[in-house]
Amino acid sequence: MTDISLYQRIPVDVPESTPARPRLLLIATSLVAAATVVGYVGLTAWYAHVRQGVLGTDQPWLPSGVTIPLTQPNFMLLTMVFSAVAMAWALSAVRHDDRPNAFIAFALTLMFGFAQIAQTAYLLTLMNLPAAGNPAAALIYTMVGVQLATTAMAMGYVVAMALRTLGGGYSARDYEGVLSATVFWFTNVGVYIILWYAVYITK
Amino acid sequence: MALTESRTPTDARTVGAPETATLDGLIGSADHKTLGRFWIAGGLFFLLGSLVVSAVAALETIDLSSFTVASDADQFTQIWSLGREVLLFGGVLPVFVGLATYLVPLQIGAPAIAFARGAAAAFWAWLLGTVLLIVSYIFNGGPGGGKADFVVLWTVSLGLVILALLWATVIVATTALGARTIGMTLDRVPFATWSFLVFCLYGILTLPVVVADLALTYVRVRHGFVALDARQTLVGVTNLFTYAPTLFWLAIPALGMAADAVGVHTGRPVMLRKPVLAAIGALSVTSFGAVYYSFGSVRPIDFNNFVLVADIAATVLPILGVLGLAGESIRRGTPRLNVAFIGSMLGGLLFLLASVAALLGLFEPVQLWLIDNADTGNPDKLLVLNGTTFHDGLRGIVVGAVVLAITGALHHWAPKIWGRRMAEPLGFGAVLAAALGGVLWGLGGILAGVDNQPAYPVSSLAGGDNVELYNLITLIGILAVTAGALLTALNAAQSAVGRNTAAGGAAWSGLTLEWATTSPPSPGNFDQPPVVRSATPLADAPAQPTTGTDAGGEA
Repeated sequence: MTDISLYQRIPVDVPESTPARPRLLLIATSLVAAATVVGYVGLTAWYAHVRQGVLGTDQPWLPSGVTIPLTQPNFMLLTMVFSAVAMAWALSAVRHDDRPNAFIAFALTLMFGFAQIAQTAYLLTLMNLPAAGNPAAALIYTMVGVQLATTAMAMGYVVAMALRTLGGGYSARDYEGVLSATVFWFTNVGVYIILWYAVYITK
Repeated sequence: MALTESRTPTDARTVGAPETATLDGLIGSADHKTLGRFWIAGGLFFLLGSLVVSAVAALETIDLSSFTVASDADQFTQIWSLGREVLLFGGVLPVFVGLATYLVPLQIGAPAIAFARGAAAAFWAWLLGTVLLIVSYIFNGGPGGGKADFVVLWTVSLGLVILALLWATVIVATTALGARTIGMTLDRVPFATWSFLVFCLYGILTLPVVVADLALTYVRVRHGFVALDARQTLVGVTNLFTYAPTLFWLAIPALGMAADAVGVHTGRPVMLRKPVLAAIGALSVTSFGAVYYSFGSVRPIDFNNFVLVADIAATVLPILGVLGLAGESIRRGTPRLNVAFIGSMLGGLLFLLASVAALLGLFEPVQLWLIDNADTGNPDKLLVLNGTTFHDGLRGIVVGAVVLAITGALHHWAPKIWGRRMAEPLGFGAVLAAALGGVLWGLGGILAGVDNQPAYPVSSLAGGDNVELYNLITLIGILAVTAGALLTALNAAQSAVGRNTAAGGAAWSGLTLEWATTSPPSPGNFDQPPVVRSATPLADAPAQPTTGTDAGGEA
């Protein structure tokens, strides 16, 4: 049975609670993430469109002598999956006020991001795809370039949120910024998966 | 406070506070009202400029025997393309973004726009991008351009313009979704705010396709994959937004603003709110145009045709629905026959005309008739009018509709934006010119398209026997729309500088929140956060805090 006396102990001059703070950063990040996916899917559609046109004329899609090895793209996929786990770890740590784990996870996420960029550069070196003279090169370089730009943006976002967490801006009470960075990082991983399948696997 | 930190509405009150008239105060302002005025002024300026450029392109086609204004087909393509791109990305969209930036926070009871500094960055980035876009054309860039560096600049500047607009739409949508006041559920937001939300979400889900295409075009041009004379490739980058069905994206805010204005000026709020909200939302089905655009050649051609026709057909019904429900308000109420009311309604009717014309032009039986009876010169069964000025004609009707919608909206909200009404005689002149011009522009373009005039020439100007007459009609139409836009811009400028009648303590008898505060609103918009209990909060007078001086005033 409810003890009514408990309610009577609440002082009468307690101010009204303020409305919950709107999660504007999370909403905006989600919208930007949606826009990023739409843009990349549009680019992939162009890739499919041009590729189908070239293959329809019985011409090879990639110039002779150019191959796309599978080892590096697959390792990059693993790297991105690990980075997603690390980002989720960072979010979980911030939600539990576990700051040491949060900073380890932030650092790991960024390290995986750098690793993906470095592996992409190495892959492009291995591919040795001439920049001119074939229709595939423009599309492949654009798709890879846009994905790298997305990774760079996601890393910048993570750095900003890590610094804010370091400054005490985010904690178990309010972790909206870290959640937003996680949403964008996951989007970046999704973009890489599109690239991996459309370009590196399908070729 | 860090730049990355999202602000609470209370924090935003201080961000939006500076309303200083000094130059540095204006340039550095993050107040949504100042930024809204900037967007509107900049948009109207470039809209007028682009209409003049479009008129020059039309003037060139009066005589098909030789080029007179332009030196050759390349330069003609540049003029035509400049007019088309600046019209949309430098004129129409910025004015809508400006109205949204100004009105949405007021209509939802928010003290400021979300990410106020981001909103300022979006405006200045758009302005810089638009100027660079024009510079790229001046120095022989853009589609048809002969200098590679300036063609590259064209891709970069157009990308900047679109990214800035994209960011602005993200901010408006975030504000509408996340900064609503207490009790303001989504089904209670005013029609204008709802339409701006749909408009912005539409932009967020379609504009990136063009950005991606521009990124690809940048790489292609930069590394010589695309020859500079490959005009079709370069012109095609912006086709998505200048062709039906995506063209009808512009009808969304126009109809939302019209629904608000009609409710106020008939004294009877538009009935059946939820069907109207649904109809405005349903217009977003035209965003599937992006799918058509992106995957067009991957899919079977018959399926493409089906998608396109179904997509355009889906625009007719929502427009008809909103206009019909607005008509019910007119029947039950007592319409004030002012510019706000007539401009808004005529804008909606012109959108209806454009969507019906688009549907008819792409409908297969009509196309088969055209093949048999008109000199289209296109043996394909499909999209026989594609690549002709038919789409320029559709765009002409839409531009007329947009100018009407903007004129109606500015007359309706001028007391709120500048604290002064706009002059009715000038407004009626603008409405008459824009309506007449839109119809003539459309008629000329469509007839010339049926008479086999390509949108832009390959080597020399071409078309059927009567094309020169149709082009003259088009030119008269463009000039009339330009006159309408000019009158509206002058009228708005008179209100802005204080030459028109002051709204004083009374504006329209609107029942939505923007009328609950002073005109123009003070910093922070409202003295205290309003509490909303219905879609017409000012009709629930006892529940409202006393926040303004002109609530419920009658003209």
